[in-house]
Amino acid sequence: MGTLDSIRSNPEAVLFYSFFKTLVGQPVTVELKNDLAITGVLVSVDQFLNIKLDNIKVVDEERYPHMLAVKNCFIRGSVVRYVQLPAPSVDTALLQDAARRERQQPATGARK
Amino acid sequence: MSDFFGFNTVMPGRQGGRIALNLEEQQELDRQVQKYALETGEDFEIYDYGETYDNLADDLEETRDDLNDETFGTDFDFAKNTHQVAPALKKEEELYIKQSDHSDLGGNGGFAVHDPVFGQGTFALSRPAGFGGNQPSLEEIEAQLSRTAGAQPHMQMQQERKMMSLEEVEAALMNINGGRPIHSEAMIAEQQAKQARLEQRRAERQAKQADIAKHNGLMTQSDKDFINRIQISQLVTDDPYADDFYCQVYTALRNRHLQQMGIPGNMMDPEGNQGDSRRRGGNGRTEQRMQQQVQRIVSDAKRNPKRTNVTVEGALGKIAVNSVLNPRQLLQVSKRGSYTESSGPNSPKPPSPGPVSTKSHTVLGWIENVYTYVLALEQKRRQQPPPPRMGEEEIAGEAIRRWNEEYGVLARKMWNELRITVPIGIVHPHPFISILNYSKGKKVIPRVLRHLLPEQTLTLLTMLVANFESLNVCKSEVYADVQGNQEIELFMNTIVPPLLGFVSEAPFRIVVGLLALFIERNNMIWVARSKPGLAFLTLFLSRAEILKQGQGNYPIPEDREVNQWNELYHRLFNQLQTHFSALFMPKATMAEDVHVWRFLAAMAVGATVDQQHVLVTEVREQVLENVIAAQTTRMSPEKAAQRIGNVNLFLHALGLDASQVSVPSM
Repeated sequence: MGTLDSIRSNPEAVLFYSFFKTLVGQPVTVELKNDLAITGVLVSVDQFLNIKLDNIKVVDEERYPHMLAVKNCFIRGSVVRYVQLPAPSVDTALLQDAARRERQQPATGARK
Repeated sequence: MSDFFGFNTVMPGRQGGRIALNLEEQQELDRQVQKYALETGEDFEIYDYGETYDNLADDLEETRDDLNDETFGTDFDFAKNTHQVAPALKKEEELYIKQSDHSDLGGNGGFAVHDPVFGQGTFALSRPAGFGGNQPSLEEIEAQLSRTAGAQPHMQMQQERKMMSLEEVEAALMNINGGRPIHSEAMIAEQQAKQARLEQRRAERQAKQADIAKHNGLMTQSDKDFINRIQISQLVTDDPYADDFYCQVYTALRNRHLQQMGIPGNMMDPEGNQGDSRRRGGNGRTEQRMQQQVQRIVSDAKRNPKRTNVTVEGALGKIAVNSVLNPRQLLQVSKRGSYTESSGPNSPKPPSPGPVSTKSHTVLGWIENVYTYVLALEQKRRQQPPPPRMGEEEIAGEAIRRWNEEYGVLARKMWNELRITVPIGIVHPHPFISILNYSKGKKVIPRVLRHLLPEQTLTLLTMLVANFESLNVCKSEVYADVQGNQEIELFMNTIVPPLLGFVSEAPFRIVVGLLALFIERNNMIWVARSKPGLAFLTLFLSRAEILKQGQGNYPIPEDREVNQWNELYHRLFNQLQTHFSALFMPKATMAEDVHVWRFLAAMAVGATVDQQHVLVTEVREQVLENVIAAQTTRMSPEKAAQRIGNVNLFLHALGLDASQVSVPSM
């Protein structure tokens, strides 16, 4: 009996969480599914990939005047489309290795 | 009367007339009472029910009601009558209050409040108005004046008021206020407005606080701890390297990097003896505590494993329990085929002995297997058991032996996967060469070499040398091809340096053997036109020279070996003769040619005088061109110096220098 795979199951969520933890303190730009793009310093991330940003600045300010006074924000992970990060902060070889490990031993309920 | 139509009317815990509470309930009750006392400002201490209950209720006569109906009749509705009289009663109460209001000073006294416990219409006589310190209002001052002035008729009082001069008024006011000066009306009004605003804001804040505090105390501390434990157990793990791989290794690498550069890194992982114990003390303790908590949670969880699906008795199926790490599947697809291996779907298959196909996906599969083993080996290295302490050699020795065995197994599997021992000639290109043709394959080699025995490294090098010309980086027409150039650079950066290290430690006969193989199996002209080829040639030549002169850590080689070497050298020279100038890149490209100069220098060192002559003649054009270009100031001084330096690499090997070159006048 083979294991049941799924297109939608996401063991890489743990990898992304681990990855984003190393980016805390870096300036990133988060593009949401509603086309709003926000630049800010990454303050924290959690297991659901919710993002907290500090000192935010909306990328296209004229379209979103209601955000002028907003300094910090909390973004629910499920509405994020892209996160643009500074390239030097990423160790691509290490990321490849981490992805390989994730493939070999997906973290499915292994942590109780 | 303990039974009311079958309903037990005995109050809970009521024993002998006293309501018994256990300690916890009593404490809770005390807490609630204190809290309420704080909020309402009432002094509840005086209500000491515990000790002051006098059990008088027990003396109530509850009997002898038999003749009530006869006495009062059956159709008098007590409740309804009371209800009808209620408004009148209320009015009387309010009148009473108003009277007591007037008889006190300046609004002092009781007033009707909406007490949250006792309902509307309660009189909190003990609550003082905010009299102290406020400026009394004008009406209040007049009222006081009238009283101090004595009981006079209303009209007279008014006239008198008008006739009172300013000073008298001031004096009267000062009497009342105990000598404090009075400000003008405007300032009084201003101050009162300010105070009103402050009061309003304070009232708002208090209202908000009260709103929030309405729900205080719903959770006990143990409840909060319980929730915290659940949350933490989801986040922190027992084996950080398994679940949090990227973050751990990234921070470890960065700290090592920073340390190398001299910047004190923030050590996350406890690593041996670091001198930064002061700063770590504070952080370390909390982290330690968290770590201990987590270990406790994890060990608890391990003892009672939570199942991923639950089956209830009598139900028609299983319920899958989802968590963050075991998410609900949106689509369920079963894997095609079954597994003949017992080791599971993700373990690499052992290499087949028969004819090996070199289709790309096969080779890529091999590379991924190599990566798997490399990762496993690196993980094993991290879990290396510590060296045994005194007296514990037996137990520790067992662990070490086991670790060595496992490590060896993995290393052997990795070695096999590299296909280095596959005999030459069965497939072209050789499987190992196919692996090296991919950038992924090149990148993994330095990591592989760390886990190989020296003899295995030699075998690897031998295989590489034997099949060198089939490498894709060994093509010579790649200068214009960006990607080809990238591959060449990658080769130079990943494969050449570790092997250079190896050859630099190798004895003479090994070098001789490698060069012999190199020359025999490869077309030297073809190989020499590529950067990697030249790099290897330079490597062998220079190492041999060093060893011949006895500068290596080996004794000077015997004559027999030296003769062998010389023979090889001559063969190489003869093959490359007349092709030396062609080694240089075409002029059009701005490619670097320092490696050519280096190779020429290496050749020149081992050359006889005649051979040196040949070398000079063949590359004369190049030398001149570089010197001339450097002397005309069309290029920047750094570039000029670089050119001269390159040429000098070669010229110094001949005992010459660029300055000796006489530029033929045009």
